[in-house]
Amino acid sequence: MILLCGIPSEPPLRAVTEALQQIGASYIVFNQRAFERWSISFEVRDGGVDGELRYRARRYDLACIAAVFTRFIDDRVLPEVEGESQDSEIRCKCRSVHDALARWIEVAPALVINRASAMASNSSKPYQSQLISRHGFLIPETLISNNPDAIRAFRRKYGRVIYKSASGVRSIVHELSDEDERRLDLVRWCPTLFQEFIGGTNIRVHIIGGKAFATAVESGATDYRYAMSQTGQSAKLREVELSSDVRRKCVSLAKSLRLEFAGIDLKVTPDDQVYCFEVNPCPAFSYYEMSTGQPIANAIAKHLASAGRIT
Amino acid sequence: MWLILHSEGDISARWAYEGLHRFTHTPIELLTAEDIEGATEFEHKLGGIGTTFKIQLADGRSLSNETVSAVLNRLLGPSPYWLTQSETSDARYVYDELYAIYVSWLSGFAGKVINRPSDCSLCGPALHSAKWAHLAREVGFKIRPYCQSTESRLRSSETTYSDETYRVLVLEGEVFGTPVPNQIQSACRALARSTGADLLGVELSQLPTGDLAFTGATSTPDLPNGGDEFLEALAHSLSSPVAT
Repeated sequence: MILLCGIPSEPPLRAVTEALQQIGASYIVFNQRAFERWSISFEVRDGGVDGELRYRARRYDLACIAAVFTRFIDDRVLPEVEGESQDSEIRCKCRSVHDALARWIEVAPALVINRASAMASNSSKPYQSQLISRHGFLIPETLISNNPDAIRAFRRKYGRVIYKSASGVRSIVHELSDEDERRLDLVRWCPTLFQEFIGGTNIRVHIIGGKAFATAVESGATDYRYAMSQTGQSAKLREVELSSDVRRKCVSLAKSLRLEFAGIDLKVTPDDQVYCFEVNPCPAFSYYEMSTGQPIANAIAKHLASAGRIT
Repeated sequence: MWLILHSEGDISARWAYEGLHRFTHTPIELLTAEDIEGATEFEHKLGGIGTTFKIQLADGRSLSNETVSAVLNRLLGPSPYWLTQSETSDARYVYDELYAIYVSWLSGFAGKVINRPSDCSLCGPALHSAKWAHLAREVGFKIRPYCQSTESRLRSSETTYSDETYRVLVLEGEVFGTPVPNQIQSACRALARSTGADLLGVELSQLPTGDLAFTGATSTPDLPNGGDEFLEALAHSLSSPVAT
């Protein structure tokens, strides 16, 4: 049995669900928005981990769940708890179900895409950069500072400089402009991350079960996810082949981070230097799959089904 | 220079700060998150030449990767001040940013760090009780069962444990604190090794059978429990080069 967690209509989860149907694998979906109908109990004892997941009158032995695919959204922002006070019964039920499920997933003897503990390196981008550099990728020169003079000097040295969040909080990558420089005194409130701008072609590499799907992204935007708002034109995506060396490094990087599935952001410079910016542990792969036809959801489904040969 | 990083109210950090002076002539600085967040200059670089840092504190003290040789890390996070500013999302953003920056800073420091950040935590392995129980079981401990249910969050254990708690410290493979059998010492070492903790506190309770069962672990243990023997080993560890 495969357990899928998230919002069923969300494109990546929907794509994996459809792919599991196509290969005939048996699965259940924990729909976060229906949390009130679910309950879970588990125990960690000398003999191992066991327990039960319940949906209304149906009961599932946790020992029978051989694989889990997670696309959790923050349960605090579910529409079903909107407007509820912090200690309301419904919000407590919501937290309780999500907490118990997340705790079980961390100790479950199952293949998990991906455990929260494995995803955690992404909550500090500069920390993750250090892990990335150990796998032979170049990383951009980076300065984290609350000193405007040091940031100005960094910009003078590298010419083009971008800034973004250091944490996992989603931020739009912007290039540091003259106008930004005029308000640099604001960084005294909180050290901020600046990086040399690296020119070249963005490549998103999805790694699943040792397989790599590489997509080149052509865009003039500093952050291609926001290409339309930054340049007025959508990014263009196409499938590309990685060299065996880069593919090997990507697979090894994902494995070392204990990620069964990862979205690795590379940039290949005009002189073929390969930089790695980030490893996304919960990538929204459907955007790339829809643009290129790469069978990523199918690979995820097969990988999930391979756990205990579930079909 | 050695740094002892800690969060406000950490009595063990002050105990170590005062006690370590008896075993070393190396200058030691005791710093909190509040000290770092009040710095007039904080600079952390990474890239082709490795990682560096430079901090100019508000009181005039100056720290850098060239002047600091070792860190005893007991820092749990940025100042809780940011979390009390719940009305503003900016304050929460600052907290998350500072956390991410501290993780990078301490991970990338080329000198000795007892307990370097892990993926999940700023100070060594900070795991949930369920995960500790799971890992403790894997390294051979008998464990106090961990139970969680959406019906009632924690069910009481059926087994009776003695009130007496055995507290053990593991520092780079050496065991201190309450004397325990060799088999338990080995399991404590294995647990520290499996979680990548340089320094780990392990708590045990006695079962009716007389056996000791694992009840919890922490990367910020009560240090005085280890006594002078532990302090001497800590001084030795902070003086030792980084294992490669």
